[in-house]
Amino acid sequence: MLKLPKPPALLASLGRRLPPAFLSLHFTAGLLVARHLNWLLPPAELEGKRFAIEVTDLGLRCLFCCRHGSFRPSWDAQADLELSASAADFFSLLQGEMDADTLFFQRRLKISGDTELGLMVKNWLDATERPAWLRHRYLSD
Amino acid sequence: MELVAPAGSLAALKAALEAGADAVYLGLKNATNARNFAGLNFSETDICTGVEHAHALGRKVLFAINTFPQPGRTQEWRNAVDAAHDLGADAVILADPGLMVYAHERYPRMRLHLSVQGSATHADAIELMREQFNIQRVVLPRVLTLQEIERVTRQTQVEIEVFGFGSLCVMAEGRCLLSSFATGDSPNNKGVCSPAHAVRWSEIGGQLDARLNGILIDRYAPGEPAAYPTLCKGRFEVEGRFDHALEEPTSLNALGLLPRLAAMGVKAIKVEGRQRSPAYVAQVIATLRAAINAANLAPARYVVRPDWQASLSRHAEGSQTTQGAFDRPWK
Repeated sequence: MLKLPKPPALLASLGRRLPPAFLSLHFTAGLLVARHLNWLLPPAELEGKRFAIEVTDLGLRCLFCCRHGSFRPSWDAQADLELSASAADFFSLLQGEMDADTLFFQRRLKISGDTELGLMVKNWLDATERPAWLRHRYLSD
Repeated sequence: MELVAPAGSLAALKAALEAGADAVYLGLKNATNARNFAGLNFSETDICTGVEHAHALGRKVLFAINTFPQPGRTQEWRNAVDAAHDLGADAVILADPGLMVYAHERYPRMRLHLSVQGSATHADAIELMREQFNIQRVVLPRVLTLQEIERVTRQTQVEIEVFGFGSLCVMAEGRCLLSSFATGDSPNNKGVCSPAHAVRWSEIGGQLDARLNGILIDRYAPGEPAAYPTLCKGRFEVEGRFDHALEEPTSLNALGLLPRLAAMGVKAIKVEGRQRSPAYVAQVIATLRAAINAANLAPARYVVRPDWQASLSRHAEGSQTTQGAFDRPWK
């Protein structure tokens, strides 16, 4: 199984020093690439919403929004939905290898803001089949 | 015994079949099923694809229409029954007797299952539903002990399905109005308890608060396992004592009971969790598939393997598992 190692402390402290706008630009670029590969096509319910992703062990907080079916970096410090977890847990969610409720029960995934929007995002990602390059075989644990 | 898996999306349905489910249960994106969550469930096109996929593998699709039609809106529920028939579902899972009449009269050859939401806890209730509507299977409420399940199984010719894993419900199956006190919505009228629009989580200094329509229903200490934000699993002060007043957040786990359930004549084991991800479905179903195969092969030598237990415990709500009412000692 592909697993992210725990990041070294140096990287985490670097993350905290990088300007948030710089991070958000790169993060959003990643989402846009995924969208152009026809993988992450946001549903209409995400339109106009602002999101914050906090990667706890890297000290990163990325802000972005969904406008005209596309992801853009957001300059607004406020978000409608904020999710927070470690890099490894976010990665396993993205791979479709981990259940979001399981992480939540174990207090490894934090959600704040609009819970219904959170559920919408979770169910959208769950229903989205992972591309082969990202896919993890569920049963190889 | 047949293994019946939950699916909230086509991806979960595929994961369930790949992991060895004999049947998958699913519902439409509306109030006709008891997991009516934002972004969850199937469009008719998805069901069509799902049914084709399952049938190609020789497996079944069970169509859950397990809420109670609301006054003046009966047609929505009838439309769901029509959809189940037209899309080629192998059975419909119904709770409401009125809807049973419609399904039975309109589609006499369609297989009917009585949902757990129908709350039939004894053989007379089950036999009445068989005589009236020719139901083929009943999903037993999670309030029954093993002895009671055994007695019911002996007294009816209807197939018995019991829950084998998943979150527990506060033993008022199908008729629970608890969440409507706080939010106006309940499983019966909206297909949800604790609708997400009324739920707010806030964490300060590691302490996590769960609020339902502004009402504090639980407060978790730093690192303490969390649960779904339902009133029944909240902690309240009752007569000076602060604790779970109605039910503790736990997951049912019947791994240890599989050979006994099979010996009683139980026909199917159901897994809860249409709201969970394909990863959950795949891992839980693969584990139960291995366990049921082992129980079928050599029931007398059956032992629960530690890796099965670990795999299921990982996904438990509140991170604890219990045999539920199956072994409730006070009963």
